[in-house]
Amino acid sequence: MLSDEALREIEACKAEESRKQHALLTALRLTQAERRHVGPQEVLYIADLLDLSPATVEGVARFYDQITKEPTGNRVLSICRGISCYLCGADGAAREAAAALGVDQGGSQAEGRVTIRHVECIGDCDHAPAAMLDSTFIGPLDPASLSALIER
Amino acid sequence: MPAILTRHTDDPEQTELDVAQRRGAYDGLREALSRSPDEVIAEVEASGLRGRGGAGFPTGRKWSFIRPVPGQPVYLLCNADESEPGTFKDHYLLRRDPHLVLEGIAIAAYAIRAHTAYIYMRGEYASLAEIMAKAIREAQGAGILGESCLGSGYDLRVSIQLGAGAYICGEETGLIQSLEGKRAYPRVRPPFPAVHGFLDSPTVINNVETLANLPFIMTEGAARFAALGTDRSPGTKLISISGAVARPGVYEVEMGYPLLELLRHEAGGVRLGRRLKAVIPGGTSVPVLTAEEAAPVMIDYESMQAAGTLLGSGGTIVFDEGTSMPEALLRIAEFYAHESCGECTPCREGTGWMAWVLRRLVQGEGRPGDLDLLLRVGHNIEGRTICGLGDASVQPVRSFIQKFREEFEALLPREALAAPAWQMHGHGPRTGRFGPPGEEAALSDPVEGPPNAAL
Amino acid sequence: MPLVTIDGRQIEVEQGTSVIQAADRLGVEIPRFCYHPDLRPEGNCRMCLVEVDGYARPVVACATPVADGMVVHSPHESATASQAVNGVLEFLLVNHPLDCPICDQAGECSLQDFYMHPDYGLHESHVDPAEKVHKHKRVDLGPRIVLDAERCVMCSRCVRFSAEVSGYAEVQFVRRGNRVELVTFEDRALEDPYAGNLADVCPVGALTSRDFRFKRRVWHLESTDAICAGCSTGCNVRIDHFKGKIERVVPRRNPSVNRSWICDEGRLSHEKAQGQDRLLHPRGADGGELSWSEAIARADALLRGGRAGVPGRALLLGSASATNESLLLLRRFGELAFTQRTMDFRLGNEPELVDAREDHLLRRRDKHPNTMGAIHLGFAAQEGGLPLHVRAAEHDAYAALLLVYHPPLVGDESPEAAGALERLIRAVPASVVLTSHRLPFLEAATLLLPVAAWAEEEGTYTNYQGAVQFTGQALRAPGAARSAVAILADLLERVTLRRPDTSPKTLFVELAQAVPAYQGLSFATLSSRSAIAYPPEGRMHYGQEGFAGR
Repeated sequence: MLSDEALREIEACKAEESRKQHALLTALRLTQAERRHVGPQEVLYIADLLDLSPATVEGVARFYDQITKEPTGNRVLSICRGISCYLCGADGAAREAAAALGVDQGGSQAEGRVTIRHVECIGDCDHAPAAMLDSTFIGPLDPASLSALIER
Repeated sequence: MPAILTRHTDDPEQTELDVAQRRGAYDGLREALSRSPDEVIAEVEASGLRGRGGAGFPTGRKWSFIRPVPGQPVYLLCNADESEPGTFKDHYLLRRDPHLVLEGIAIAAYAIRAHTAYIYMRGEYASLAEIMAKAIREAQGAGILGESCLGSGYDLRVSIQLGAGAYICGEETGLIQSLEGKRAYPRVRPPFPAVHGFLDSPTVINNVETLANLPFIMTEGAARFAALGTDRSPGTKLISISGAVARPGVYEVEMGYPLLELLRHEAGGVRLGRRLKAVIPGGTSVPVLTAEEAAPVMIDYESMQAAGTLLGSGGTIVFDEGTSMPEALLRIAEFYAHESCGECTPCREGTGWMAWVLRRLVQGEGRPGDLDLLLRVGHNIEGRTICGLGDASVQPVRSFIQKFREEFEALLPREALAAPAWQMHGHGPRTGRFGPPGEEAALSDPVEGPPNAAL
Repeated sequence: MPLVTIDGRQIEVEQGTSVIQAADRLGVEIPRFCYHPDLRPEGNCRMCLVEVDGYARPVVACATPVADGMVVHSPHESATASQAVNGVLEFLLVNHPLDCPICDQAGECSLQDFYMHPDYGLHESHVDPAEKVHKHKRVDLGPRIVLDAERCVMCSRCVRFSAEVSGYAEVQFVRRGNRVELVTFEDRALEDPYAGNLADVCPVGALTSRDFRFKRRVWHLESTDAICAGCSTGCNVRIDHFKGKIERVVPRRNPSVNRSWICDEGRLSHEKAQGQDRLLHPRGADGGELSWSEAIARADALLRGGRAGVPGRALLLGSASATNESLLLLRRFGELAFTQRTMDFRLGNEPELVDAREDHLLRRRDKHPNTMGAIHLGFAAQEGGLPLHVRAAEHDAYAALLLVYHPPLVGDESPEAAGALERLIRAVPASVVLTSHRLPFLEAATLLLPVAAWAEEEGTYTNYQGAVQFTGQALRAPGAARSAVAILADLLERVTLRRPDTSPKTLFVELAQAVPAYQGLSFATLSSRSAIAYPPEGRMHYGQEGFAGR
């Protein structure tokens, strides 16, 4: 289910401390990165990997915003709705971004290519309205250049 | 302006070990390793350094609570979960001077006799984690970290843990829980992390900026650090300024520097030449100041307190005259409702309740008594929760309503203002609780609906 | 030791005691949802807020250790604490469905009880009932438990039980804030053999017992304290019954035996005890029903022909599921009625298994509640057990057999034991069997006497640790069945011509005299809580190992 590289990283994290659960957040992150979601099959897989009950894994997975039960698109555009970005017109920029990509707000573009997420303050307020494409900060959000950015 | 933290942050090459070392990186660690851990703690206590994450607790004192137990490890956790809205100072340091942070981590770990340190970074900082990971690799390769740091015989392993999107992980026991692979439910205290922390071992959690001050204290001495700033707030402070401001960014100021001076000069004033309406000086978790209240305030713990607010994280959010304070408060309240971990009753239910009442108010569906209801709900949260998130959620609500009450009252229907509360209670148009009332609000709806799920 | 004052009353407690524990000891009621004496405190519900002199804010009593000289004010006397608790209650109702009329927790719902409390109850709510976060309702979590997530107050008792006590970790919270919801993974059924405890620890109607749901309003129930007879652990239970029928069995807290838990098998063992296949009347070999006077006369005749001290080589086989009191009378009957007698109780390897664990928590492999009692009363003097007696009987060693038999309430009798019993009964010329149930391997007995089953007879059991515990009578035995003590007293009366005093108190005094290990025990200590007696060799001494498996 996961790449050898991810499995090695999880093993290394497990080996760091006496309790295997320490590696759970890392396992969830890597699974999300490679499988674009952590659904029931992924939960069972991780539970087995770390010797935890599926409910334990599920409870932790559903605590964190970046771990999703449903698959995201290949690219994730996170648009900040923090107070600073709000003061800098984030709402309007988000609407324009969605329109420019032809994506429902909070949804995916056709063929699951892009998912737009509205997230709380991402700590890049000096580039308001802030946004991230996957893990790259791309603020200030420029709806006009988004498509080109995503194609790249 | 004297600089401790931002001396070299303008040079993009500062992230390279050799460049940083030419400028004195790890000299402070070398100095620390030449002394005993207790001497390092004493030096830091003498410097008067206070925690820069928000609480302002004296760093040396925090370390002195650690009592190593034979056979049990001690942990240093670097809190790089920076999630306080309007705060991006740690982002700045991590990106521009990773070795400064790493050096601070090594000094602190040595002082508390820890051989393992974790840098817990919020999941959104994955790109910064790569910079940090490279810095760790370089430092290990150069014999600075790892086995026998700088040939001293002191071993230190530094690892990075990325979060996955939860504000509460910045709360120190929430951070510990998350690092243990659990839901980041904060722990009731006592016991404190210094006694039962990560994996039940003695643990210190320090903020990135706090740690970044340590190399200076070790090389220049506590006295030179204490000479900066004010008597009770020594040193400098990183201020992240954002919102309605011409030049948003991170500025290092000496403690005691006037708040509005920073806004007018360094940050270029309110954007578009508008008038200042209000400013939140320490992240959304501290009370807002009106323009008038902000005028005499200095950037230090005591001056902020005297003005009825807190220095907090130094996340300074500027509101101009065109801002609707109720709408801005709704955005802030929705943040806390979204980020409340849900562990303890008052915060779990209260943050959602406040956001819900504010939303109906902003949508013109306010009810008589709603403002008092908000204050009452806040009162019932404050001081009754496991961690500080509950209190934090109340500060903006109370201060916004107190200081801009007429703006809130203007949103109440005219008849609602006149009618006794019991007549209106339970009537009027309603939308589903937290359900998106329409396309317009969907964007700012933090609570229900799957904002993160793809369709 | 710190001295703490709570509502004006003082108590000295050990270092590390929490305020709520001190208050519990003083009998000062502190409202709580999340605190449970046998779970790690989490401090999440905030219901136990109290005011402490010198503290700026109310603190949670469950997670605040007492300090010497601490002065605490509960919501009963502190307006500050009362207001704080009142505020917490209001928060709990923000998203609660307020469906009390159709909730089966009524009568034992902490939320309802606290709501109505005169000192801190909530009589004026600002909560709008129309605006709620909706969650899953009526989710079947297997055969034991039904979940209603909307009623959950997120106290996490069940989560902690599941993770820390049973270790199955099958229930967990998902999401955050007021969307937090209790779930099992993909709504899976619980596999935990201790799942029933989840309903017990739930202070509200979120987790209810499927067996008990909507059977009976709790205030109509009568309660009897008892000891579970499902295995040698001897868990303390309370039998809730209504008009002669057991409606449910719940654990009763005993920190040194079962803490607050019981296993599901034990919880349901009454279904077998009070099951369909009960023997209801005395019955002769010809299958004909007998009156008790006929039956006793026939038993006496069969066993000793009306003469005391017959040199008859009798075998008296007790039951490891019989009470100490009935075993005492059985022993006395043997001693007085026969010059030669063999006494045993071993149908299998009970003595070896008596403290062998079946799991890390409570269940033990010996499925009899009173193996230790039978040992203490001298019922296994020789080597061999049942197989030896079968061989001896088949070589005409015994003229008469008196057997007391109760089927195990958890699991079935082993085929070896059942087969051996049948052979034994067929081999001995005169066999009198006291049994609660009709069982094929007992059918060949010369005389079958119906005896009370568990919960139909009072007395004591001695658990694997040597703890002597009193189990009460909740029900009348069905049909003509009588207690073993009464039947054996009748038989004794035939020998001594004087009916023995069978009051529990007298019997217990005699028991304490008869068994060296029980000397010093008194019925008074027994009825308040279980008395701990140690077996002669001391090997069953209770210690921390009882719960080391966590």
